[in-house]
This record gives sequence, structure tokens and C-alpha cells, in this order.
Amino acid sequence: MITQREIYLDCNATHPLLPRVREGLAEALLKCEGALANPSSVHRRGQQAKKSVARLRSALCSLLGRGDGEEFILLSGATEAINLAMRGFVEERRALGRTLHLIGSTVEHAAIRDTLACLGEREGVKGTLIPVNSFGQLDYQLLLSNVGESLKDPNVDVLLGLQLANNETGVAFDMDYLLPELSKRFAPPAQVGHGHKKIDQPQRLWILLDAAQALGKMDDEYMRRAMHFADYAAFSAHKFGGPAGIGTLWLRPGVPFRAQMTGGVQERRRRAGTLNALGCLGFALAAEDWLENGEIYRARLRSLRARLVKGIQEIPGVLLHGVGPDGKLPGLCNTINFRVDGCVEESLLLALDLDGFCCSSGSACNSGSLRPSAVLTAMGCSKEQALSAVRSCVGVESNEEEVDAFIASTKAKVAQIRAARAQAAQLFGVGTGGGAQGAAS
Amino acid sequence: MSNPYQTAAPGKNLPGAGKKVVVAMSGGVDSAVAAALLKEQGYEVVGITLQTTDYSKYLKDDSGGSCCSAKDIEDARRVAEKLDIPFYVLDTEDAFDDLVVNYFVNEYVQGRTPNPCVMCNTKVKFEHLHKKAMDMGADFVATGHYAKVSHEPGMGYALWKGDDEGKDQTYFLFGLTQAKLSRALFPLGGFKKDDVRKMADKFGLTVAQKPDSQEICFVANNKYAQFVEDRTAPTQRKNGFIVDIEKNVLGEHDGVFRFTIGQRKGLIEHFYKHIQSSYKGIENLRVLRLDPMKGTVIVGPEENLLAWGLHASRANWIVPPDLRQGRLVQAKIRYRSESVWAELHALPDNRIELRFAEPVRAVTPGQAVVLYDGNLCLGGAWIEGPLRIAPEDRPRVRAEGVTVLKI
Repeated sequence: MITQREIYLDCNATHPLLPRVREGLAEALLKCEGALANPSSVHRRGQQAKKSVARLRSALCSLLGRGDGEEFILLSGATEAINLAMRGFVEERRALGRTLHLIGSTVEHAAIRDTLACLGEREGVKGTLIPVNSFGQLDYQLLLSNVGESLKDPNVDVLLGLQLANNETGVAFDMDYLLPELSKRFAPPAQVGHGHKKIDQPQRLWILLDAAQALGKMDDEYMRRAMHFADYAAFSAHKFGGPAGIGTLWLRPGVPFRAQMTGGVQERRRRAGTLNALGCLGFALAAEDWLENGEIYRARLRSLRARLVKGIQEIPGVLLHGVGPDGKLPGLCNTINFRVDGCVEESLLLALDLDGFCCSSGSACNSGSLRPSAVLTAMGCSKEQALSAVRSCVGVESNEEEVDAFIASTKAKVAQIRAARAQAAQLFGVGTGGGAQGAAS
Repeated sequence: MSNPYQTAAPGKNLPGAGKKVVVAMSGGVDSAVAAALLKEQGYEVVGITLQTTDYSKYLKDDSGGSCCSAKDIEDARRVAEKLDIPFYVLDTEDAFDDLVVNYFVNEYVQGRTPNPCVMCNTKVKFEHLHKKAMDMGADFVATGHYAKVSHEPGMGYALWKGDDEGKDQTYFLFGLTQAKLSRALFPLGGFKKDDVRKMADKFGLTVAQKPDSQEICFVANNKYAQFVEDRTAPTQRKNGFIVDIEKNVLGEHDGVFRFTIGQRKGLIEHFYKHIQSSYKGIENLRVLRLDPMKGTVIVGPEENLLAWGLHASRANWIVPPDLRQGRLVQAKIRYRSESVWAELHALPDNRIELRFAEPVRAVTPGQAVVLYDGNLCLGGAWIEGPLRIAPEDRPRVRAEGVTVLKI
């Protein structure tokens, strides 16, 4: 019953290392070569380490269609990147006496939501989260009017932080509509190119993209189009098959910024601390792999997800989160998020775990107990519904057998839970039941 | 990693082979050893800790004294890691609030002294968790209680006192029904506490020397009055007078929930100063009764606490006893008190009357009275209040030499 098998379907939490990354890192570790040294060292081994860093910058430029690797600040991951961008922006613009307004959506990752709340609490910065509908789609008109309202006051600067794709539901906002629209409405009229602003037409709206989930899993061209309109973008390596603990903040040259970490000249004084050269190597290998094989990988993920959806939809009483009335699946091609009627709270997730399937639901609290997902509650789910959700996301190395096994197990576990609940109703009576118990009123 | 206790390879002849059990792990030594024993007996063991308070609240403002409970969860997790069993923490805050905390507060507000541990076992561990365990395909729910359960032909499932008389915990389990008992396991029932600690040591569990929990787990530093105050509206907290049995007003108080039957500590400070010196025997006054409607606390001398009987309601019979005649049972009116012989009389509406063979002290409304026939726990009920029994109606028995009617 408690099986020894382990089938990993939680690739949005951390995608397993890609084979190429695994091999590359293992080799680097065994040979104890350059990637393990300090890239700031002047000696030859330090120079070797620096090569890994350079390799990463170059891979990122190719993958994201940028020309200058120095636009990427290497750091620990997307959460740090988002903190650095938001806090750096606020500190810099405040010093210039500007009034600030931070805008996000209610389904942003906590990195954006909590940082926005924290800056509100500590610095008194205004923050707004724009709601989404029950399918997880942003209310674009509300967002546009919110931005417009704020910018009517000439003293106000706006930083808009949005995810490219949601980690829990896979829902992607339509950036091909939103970003050009924002640019059309709010960019300084005499702008030559997005990077070259005239001094008399100051920029008042900045855009931070949380691309942690999107990297690799969204089409390269789509990413590049989005980057074209962005001022900041945050990435993590472990979401697409690189190692955890390495990520990057991309900065458009000239955007407001202040370093938040001091203690060294690394990253041109923008982020102090010894660079994680081994992480850089892993990140570089992953980026190179996606650059080369991204089309194949995405096709594979799409096909596995289609199989997953087909199987899961056969379960009576199933509801897919983030799927609109048109039946269009979420933009993140590897993700489904669903709940099943009658499977209360985290029952299905735990039953699946005991059967060897690693999936997730919501977020864990400090103690490790599950909390209802803030994303699903923002989409209108009740606490109970949100807690009963199961997110299943395939990875590059997932296969049809695993997907089929997951479907079969889910069907079996749903039946098990429904039977157990029916039996419990008999054993304990409906409601709280029982003999001598119950608070006297 | 191999564990020294895994000497017996799981085999078909072990009692638990092919059976799955969810163990409620509190982070203490008892439930840890229960899990270890079950694993040794060949069960597939899943450890679960019920998180009943949102500890992140405390971590945020850094003021909570309850962090030890967050530590308990980590202790349980470490035990599960050591035993190599799956382990989950379930957020049970809502159910616990609903079924235990609200009950606890309401009882105090209504002038009764609640027993949250009974409620937690009956409603949370053996119902809420029980359902979750069934969802997970488990056959049993186990706890580290010192109690025994068996299936007796013609009787059904029976609950027995644990072998360690000083630790017997059947008092907290009297609310279990046949359905709940049929899927309950108490692996420690046959052991003494000292042996359990030794076994914990043998199994290599870090909690072997962890002290027993004494206080109510959700009330920090046992400040229950503060707890009740924080969770009630001022209108619910009836203040009023402290009176003696002749209805002389001795003082004032700001809430009956601050008092419990038999209490002496902290009473004097509510008295008017001019009474203190003149009132006879003031130092020995105890709380005799609470009248939540009027907001009155009635105090009097120790001897007025004695009662020869009680009424109790909402009885639960694990083994339905023969209620035709005033059969003799042993009754326990609180967890830490000796049981006394009593005549059991059934009343309508699932109420009972008990007549004691000797007077008992401080019959406390809201506490449970649990009834035994030797080591067999028959069930119990919730105390409504003490009862005057005329001398001629008192049972003529003594603790020794009584032949108890067999069921």
C-alpha cells in the first residue's frame, strides 16, 4: 500500500536537473575544476570559474534575445531578483522625491505580493493587487484604468509587477495584448526606442516580469516579445532543469536601481557576495539545452499534458482550475490543477503521495501543514476547495507511463476516498455525530 | 540506513502484516513509541501530527509562548524520519477551534469546568482524524494512550484500563463509540510508562526523556482565564457578587469563568477589605457553586463540597450496561481522582444519577464522570451537578468485598 515507487509530477516546484546539467555538474564536481573556485580570484582556477559565469551570461543573452550579458545580475533566484528589483526601484525613485505606486495581481507569487505588502507596511508605499476572474485571468481594463489613474498625478511613478505564467494553475496573462497596450497608452510619446528615453519625457511606468515559471516552458519568441516591453525580469534556474540557488535579475539599462546587498564589488556592485560558479555552470547548461531543444521539450510537455487532461477529465466530478469557458488549457504547457468533488481537504494529495506520486497543492506553512492556495482563493475557491486542489506538472523527462499511472492512481484514490467518506457517514453519522460529545449550549 | 529495532523483517506472520495504520503523533514519547511498536509489528505506519494552532502567527510577532508546540511538530517529524515512515502535518485549526476551543470557552462562560482533552479525543482524534485516515486507506487509527481495546464475543469492542494504573487514560476515551473503537489501536496499553521510555531509548528516539505534557495544549502557560477573556465579548463575561451560603455578600468578581468548584486560591483578593478581618474562617472558604445566570459565585467551608451523588447527562455507553436496577459501578469524577463505588440509575433523555457509597469532594459541572467495572470502561457522562441523597437512599456498600454484577 505504501509504495516504494516515486513518480515526480511537481516540476513547477523544482524541475529535476536536465540530463545534460546532471552530467555537467557531476563532471565538474568530480574533477574539482574551475566551477568550484571563486570567479573573482585572479589565478587560473578563478579564471576557469569566471568562464562558467561568462558562459551563463552568453546563454541567457541568446535565450532571451539580449545583446549584453552584463544586463543580468546573477543571484540566488527569482525571489531575490524580485525583492531586489522592487526594493531597488522604491529606494531610487523615493530619493528623487517621487510618490510611488506598486501594482500587481492577486495571483502573483508571494515574492511580489509579500514584498509589495512589506514595502507598504515599512515604507508606506501604496500597493494595489488587481483581481482575477474565476479562471485566473486578469481584469485587463481594471489594470489599465488603475495605472492610468495613478499616472494622472504627475508626481507618481508606477511599478507594475506581473508574472508571465502562474506556478500553481499555469494560467498565463495575455502579454501580447497587455504590454503593447500599456506602452501605447503610457509610454512617453517621443520615445525613440524603449531603452533610449529623452530627458524631457521621463518614464513614469516600469514593468517587472516574474518569468520564473515561464522560462523555457513558454515559447522563446513570446518571451522575447515580453522582454521587449519589460524593464526588469526575474528568473530561477531550478524551474527549468538547472540547479536551485541560482537565478538572475535582468535590468534594462538605465532603469531605477539601488543595490540592496553590500559587501563586495561583485556584479558591478549591484549584488555583493561570491558568485555561485557551480550554479552558474548548471544554469548555463540548462539554458543551452533549452535553446537547442526547447521546441522539442515544449512539444513533449504539451503532449503529456494533453494526455493528463484527457485522463483526469474522465473522473466524474472533476474540475480543472484555470480552464476558461472556451476549454482552452492554461498557457504554461506542463501544468494542470484540479479538484474532485467529494475529495475533501488534502485527502487526495496525501493518498497520491502514499501511492508514490509527488504532486502539490497550495503552499506549506512553517510547520509543514498545507494551507489553502492564495492563488485559488483569489480565483474564488473556498478554503476547502482550495485545500483539495492537486497540481500536477510534468517535466522534460516525464513519460506516458508515468502519466497513465498517475491517472489510474487518481481514479483509484478518488474512489477510495468517496467510499471512505460514505463509510464514515455510516460509522459516525452525518455531521459531527457521536454519543456523549458535543458542547452543551 | 538500518535501524537497530528493525530486527524482525516484516513477515506474513506479524499481526500487522498488510494493514495500514495512521498514528496520531503529538511529538511526545508515548505516540512515538506507539508508532515504533506498530512498525515492529509489521503495520504500514503513517504518522500524522494535527496542527491545532497557527504557529506562524506567533512567529510573526515573536511574543507567543506556544512555540514549544511548533517544536513538538518538529520532534514528531524527527521520530518519523528515524522510523522511516511517511509523515504529514495536517492543519486542523478550524476543526479544533470549532470542536474543542469554542466548547472550552463556552463551558467556562456558562459556569462549568470543561474537559477539552475528552472532547479532542472524541471529536478530533477519533473522528476528524479518523475520517482522514480512512481517506488514506488506513485500517486503523492509533494513539499513545495508556488504554486497551479488545473485541469480546457477545459484547463487541471493549475499552480496558491500561496496565500502568498511574497512567491509565481511559477517562479521556469514554466518548468513543463501537465504530470508533473498532478501528482504534492503543499499542501502549500493556506497558508501564518507565518501560515506554526505555523502549524509546532502545528505538533511538530523541524524545525518550521528554517530559510529559501537563497543561492544556492550546492555552499558553495555563492562563486559561486570560484565554477565555480574549475569546469572548464583554457581555458574555458576567460579573457579579461572591456570596456565602447564607447569601452574605463577601466581595465582587469580574467573571464566573475565572472560578472552578473547590477552588480556594485567588479567592480572597476579590473580597471587600472590611470583611476580610471580621469573617470567620475566611481563609478556608472554597468555591462551592457557580450561578452563571446571576453571575454569582457561592463560597463556603470545605465540608460543603462533599456530595453523595450527582446527575450527569449525554451519557455514552461503550458497553451498554444493564440499567434496570441500581447496579454498582466504580465512578471517576475527574481524571486525577480515585474511583468510588456508586449505584447507577438511568434517567430519561440519556441522563444518569449516581449515588456514592462514600461522599466525594467537588463534583464539578462540565467534567466527565467515567464508569468502570473493574478494568472495563463502561462509558461515561457529563456532570450536571452534585445531588443531595438522603442517608436512607445511600448505597450500603464499601469498596472492599463488593460483588459487582456481571454484564
